Amino acid sequence: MNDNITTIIITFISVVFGAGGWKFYEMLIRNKRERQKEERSEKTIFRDDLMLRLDKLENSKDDCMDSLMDINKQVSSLQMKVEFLEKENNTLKIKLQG
Amino acid sequence: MEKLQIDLMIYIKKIKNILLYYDFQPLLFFWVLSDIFNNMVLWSNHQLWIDQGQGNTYFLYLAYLILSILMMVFINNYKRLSVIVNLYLCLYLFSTIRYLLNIYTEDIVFSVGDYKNIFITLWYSLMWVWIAFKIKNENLHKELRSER
Repeated sequence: MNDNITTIIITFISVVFGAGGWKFYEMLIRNKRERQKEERSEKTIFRDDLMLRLDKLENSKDDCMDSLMDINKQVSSLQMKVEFLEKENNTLKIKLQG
Repeated sequence: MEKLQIDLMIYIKKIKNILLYYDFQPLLFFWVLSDIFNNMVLWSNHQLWIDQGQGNTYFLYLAYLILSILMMVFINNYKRLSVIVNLYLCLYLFSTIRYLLNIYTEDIVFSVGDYKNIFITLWYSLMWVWIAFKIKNENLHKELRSER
């Protein structure tokens, strides 16, 4: 009978220690998973930020292209005007000399 | 000699990987089935054990039989299987400790056979601890995955 009680007590202690060991292991695994989750969320934030910046740059590139087209048009028209004025200037010079 | 060492290291690493990552259910299935067929409750009766002065041992075997059958029934249900394996492990720990206490308190000289029996008993305990750990670990990882 005494042996049986000793057996029960030792078994109980083993089970308690086993359960405690398991809880400790569970805590370690949960902490590790939490860290991984945080790292992943940091990476996601960085990626989202990069995507936002890319979007912004693409929009600004389109604006720049539009304005470049406008400037090109204006330059072409001004070039034409300069050519015309040069020709007129030359004609006037010839008339004055004559 | 160096090649032998490397081969041995690779072999140990493979064993470690098998123990860590491979499934244990087929082992459990065959082991529990053989446990059920070998259970003394099926091959003897209570009176036989009472005659030997070990009436309680019959009930211990009966508890093993019930838990083994439950393991077979719930082998595909991880949560229930985990509870049953833990109960089985407690029972196994109880009988192992009882056996060790018995041989420790008896004033006998140990023979090679006794050492062999102690070793096998502890080895089986280790196996059940490993199975219980694998099931609980798998349940924990499933739970963590679902929390994601």
